[in-house]
Amino acid sequence: MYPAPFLYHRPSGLHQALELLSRHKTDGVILAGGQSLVPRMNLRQETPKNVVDLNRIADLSTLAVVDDVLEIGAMVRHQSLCWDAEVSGLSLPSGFAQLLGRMAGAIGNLPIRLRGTIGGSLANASPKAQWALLSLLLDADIVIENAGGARCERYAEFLNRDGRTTLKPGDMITRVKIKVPSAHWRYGFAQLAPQQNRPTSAFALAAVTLQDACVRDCRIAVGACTPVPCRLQALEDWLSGRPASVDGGNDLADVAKAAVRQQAFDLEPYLEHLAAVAITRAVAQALGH
Amino acid sequence: MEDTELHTVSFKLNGHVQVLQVAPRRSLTHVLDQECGMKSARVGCGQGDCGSCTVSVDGVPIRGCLLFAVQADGADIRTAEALADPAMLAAIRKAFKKHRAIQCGYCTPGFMILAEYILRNALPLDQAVQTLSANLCRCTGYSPIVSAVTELLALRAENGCGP
Ligand SMILES: Cc1cc2nc3c(=O)[nH]c(=O)nc-3n(C[C@H](O)[C@H](O)[C@H](O)COP(=O)(O)OP(=O)(O)OC[C@H]3O[C@@H](n4cnc5c(N)ncnc54)[C@H](O)[C@@H]3O)c2cc1C
Ligand code: FES
Ligand code: FES
Repeated sequence: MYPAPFLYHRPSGLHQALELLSRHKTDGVILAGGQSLVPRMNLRQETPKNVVDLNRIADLSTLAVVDDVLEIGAMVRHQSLCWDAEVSGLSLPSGFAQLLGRMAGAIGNLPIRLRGTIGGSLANASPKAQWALLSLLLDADIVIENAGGARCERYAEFLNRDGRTTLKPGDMITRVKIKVPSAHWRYGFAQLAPQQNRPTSAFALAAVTLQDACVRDCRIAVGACTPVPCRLQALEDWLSGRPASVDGGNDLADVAKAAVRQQAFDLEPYLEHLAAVAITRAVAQALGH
Repeated sequence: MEDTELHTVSFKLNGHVQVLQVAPRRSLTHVLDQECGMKSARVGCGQGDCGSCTVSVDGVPIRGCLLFAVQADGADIRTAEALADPAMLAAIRKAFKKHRAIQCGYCTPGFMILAEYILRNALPLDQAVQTLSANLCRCTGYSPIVSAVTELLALRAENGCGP
């Protein structure tokens, strides 16, 4: 199993990488962690003539909080966000730091997480990607650069409804920016897969704040079972203002199902069911049940 | 297009420096096998799914089928033939044998790399099992592999350091 021949480029700086990408717009590809690209190259589903390896560009691997915004370099590996040593220095609210670790830890398995990157995951735009779900829920900004300049796009604009991104030949994601949520937010994340470490069938992410034992703000997103991750406005409206003791009983599951149907009307019934299960679990976790 | 371009790469393999000329499309696993004579890691799926290609790169387990050998320039690579510490390698072999964690053996070198990582980092049992679940084994049913690693972790805890 050999990929088709290609020319290999290993730029040591961002500028040089962007130049290379602009020069090879028609037949060049970015190699980040290689955990999605190389399987496709091995099957010759992709046969790029020029491969630009970002692994030696140190600037792309930084993780920092700047003015209350978490900035994650495109080449930050999934596993880095699981390691206390790397995340604890950022002084993030503990619930948020834990959420990052849990979501990163839910990706594939250790060797995959040690290589795969957040930038690669967002560019790859698989509907089953945990980072896509997180980016949608927290309104992440994606910083994209090319030889001509830089732009910044809200995740909901970056990913089209058809599952394609706004990336054009020559573009590179360089950073992801997430406004650090205040410490009041509580989170729930649930992922359903036929087996641990197998691709997930449905996952859901919920974030809530409480006031006087009632839900004040609430954001809920579901993914993997839908073509793209989606926010569930109808469920968010229903949950807002309700007592935090609202249980995962029938009402919540029914409203969740209806909200999913609004976003994706032709789901297989079993996927709709899995979505509802993931959502009720995520909401229950966020509410502290 | 033929392989018009060869790259010089140099890496440390099981403690010895290797300098090679490779075409960029060749995976690390292929090069270790065909150029360096390290046959333990082998390509199964080439898709990142099975883990039979797992080698240790700079101290962590990596899918060798998804890393081009040119990318390993400057890296410190270990294969199951010579894991970091000979005493640990011997202990892993003994435990795998005792618990019958090997049948056809196709997956074994990959699991040995994972086991060595687990032991070196003294992972708690739940994380150890989670780490082992990265690789596939079609023969043993996994529980013998888990038993072997559980025993190795217990030995390590008794001795205070590596078994
Ligand atoms: C066995 C296995 C299980 C997996 N399980 C999961 C899972 O559960 N959840 C999950 O989310 N993912 C999973 N993955 C995929 C994994 O997370 C990949 O790491 C990720 O999808 C791609 O990241 P990468 O860094 O490896 O990118 P690459 O494979 O290097 O690149 C992927 C694509 O993105 C482009 N690209 C990469 N970086 C950039 C950039 N900075 N700017 C613009 N374009 C770029 C590349 O050109 C390529 O087209 C799994 C993979 C395997 C093999
Ligand atoms: S050969 Fe590398 S994971 Fe199967
Ligand atoms: S022993 Fe045969 S695949 Fe594991």
